[in-house]
Amino acid sequence: MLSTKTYDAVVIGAGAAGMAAACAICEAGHTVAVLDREEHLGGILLQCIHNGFGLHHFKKELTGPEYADEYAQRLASLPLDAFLETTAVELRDGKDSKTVYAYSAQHGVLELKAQAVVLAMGCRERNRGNIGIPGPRPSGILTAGLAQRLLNIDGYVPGKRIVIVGSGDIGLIMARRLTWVGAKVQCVVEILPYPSGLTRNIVQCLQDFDIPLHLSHAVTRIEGADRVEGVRISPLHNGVPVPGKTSHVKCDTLLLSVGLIPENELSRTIGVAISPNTNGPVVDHSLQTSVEGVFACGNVLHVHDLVDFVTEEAQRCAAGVVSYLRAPKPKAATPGVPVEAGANLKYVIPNRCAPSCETHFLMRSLMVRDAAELTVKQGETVVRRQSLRRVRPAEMISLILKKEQTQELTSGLPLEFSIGVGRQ
Amino acid sequence: MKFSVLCSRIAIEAKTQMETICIVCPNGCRLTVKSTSKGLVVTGNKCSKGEKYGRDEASDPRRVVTCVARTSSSHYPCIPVKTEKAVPKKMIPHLLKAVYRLELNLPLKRGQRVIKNFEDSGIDVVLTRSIPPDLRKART
Repeated sequence: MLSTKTYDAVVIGAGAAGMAAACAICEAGHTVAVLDREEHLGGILLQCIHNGFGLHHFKKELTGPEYADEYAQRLASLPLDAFLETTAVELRDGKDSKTVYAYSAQHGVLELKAQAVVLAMGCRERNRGNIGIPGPRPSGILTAGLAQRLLNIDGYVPGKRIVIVGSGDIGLIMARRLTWVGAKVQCVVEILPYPSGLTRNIVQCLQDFDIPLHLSHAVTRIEGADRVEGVRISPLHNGVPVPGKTSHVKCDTLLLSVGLIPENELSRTIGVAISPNTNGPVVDHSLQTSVEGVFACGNVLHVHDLVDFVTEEAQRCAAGVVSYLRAPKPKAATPGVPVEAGANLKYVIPNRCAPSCETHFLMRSLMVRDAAELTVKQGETVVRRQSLRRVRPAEMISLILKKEQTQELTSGLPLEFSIGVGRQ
Repeated sequence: MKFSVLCSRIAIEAKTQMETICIVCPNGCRLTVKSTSKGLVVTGNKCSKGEKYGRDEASDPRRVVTCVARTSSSHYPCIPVKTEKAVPKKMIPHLLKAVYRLELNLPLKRGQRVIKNFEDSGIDVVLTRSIPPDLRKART
């Protein structure tokens, strides 16, 4: 049975981004539906039981479930429709509206029509296939986020002797969590010469328990037939394993914390253009994608390090949706200014801005430095220079260009962001 | 003075110096804490918060503990908890054991105190999530 409903906006995903976007759009007086495939609102926050969330946004230290609850309560007090245990499978662009197709045991097949769609599906973890560790395929190899879910939601301890690959924050948090349930974390192996996670997590999760962190090392082989029995770890020199220096570590479980990929299969069904730098949709200053009326925010757009920034981005996205709903502008009318990531930057979001329009830029550095300078240029004109006390790939850089600062921008000419050596 | 505090005081006096990384903000200042006749002296910090962190870390290191407690429900087998205040590091293993011994009945409400004044330390353990009454059939 197919049931059709019509809204001003449909938000896909009820994690940190989706909840904040849905609340803000609804509070502006529009009708909203929010969908999530899980049984509860909150997304990944529910399994992140550690604290340290909300310091920027709520000005207090919360755990993941508490952060989710703050928004879930707000959502419950608003007149919006939340479809839980509902999976969105396809988006279609119609003449007058977009259609979201979804299904659930409770509602059957749903056809939700809306003027605007917000993509807030989050991201998923890179796995063994993505990093290509050689060896057999025994049980006991899992991603850090999956182990986190098993331990914190389902109540299973995934192993007793653990090796963690990658020093991303989830892996570090899991090192502490596993130690606290009585498992022995043998070591954390990071391929890069610097840690990928936040410094405070290195201190609280590894140093507190004397867990060794091997930088510039790689797991070069997994051993074991039915269950993981051990791994081989090699130091790297210029990215290549050094022969003869390989060591063997006994373990029964290997956790992979090797990065996240925005989950955009659904975005592609409606033809949203994806950036190769972020693996997320290409967006303009209002976080609208290449498809008119389709917006994106949170980890589906680019992977964030703090949930507070996800909430803030979702609120900006909602503001974009609200102004679109009030006065839809055809895409062709605003050619905009293309934004490019130059020297030492992996990416800059949004990918496009407009003259005389305040824009909040978020970017990720490719280098580790304690005194650096961010330069924003259009052609030969320097739009903005900003000195940065500290740049790390693990820490997102934020820059707001005020309306006055974007007045002089010329449409069509790229705006280039770059990071160079700053004055100490 | 609490026993754990005394222990760490003795430890630092024996060592007279310790190195640590401040975790208050993302700057991650490398701190050196020295035990002198005038008390603990922190260097390497860029702000006053770092000084406080360094002193506390040397004399009485504490952490907020988060973990999960068991419930009697098969549909929601665990519920996340936290200590309301930071706990002396030495007390953590003992506290964890106490949390793992709990078995809680639904419904459960965020903020509910499941351990009060743990071993006279003034530390309470509270739930960080609400779980409604278990209306579903048990998972098979």
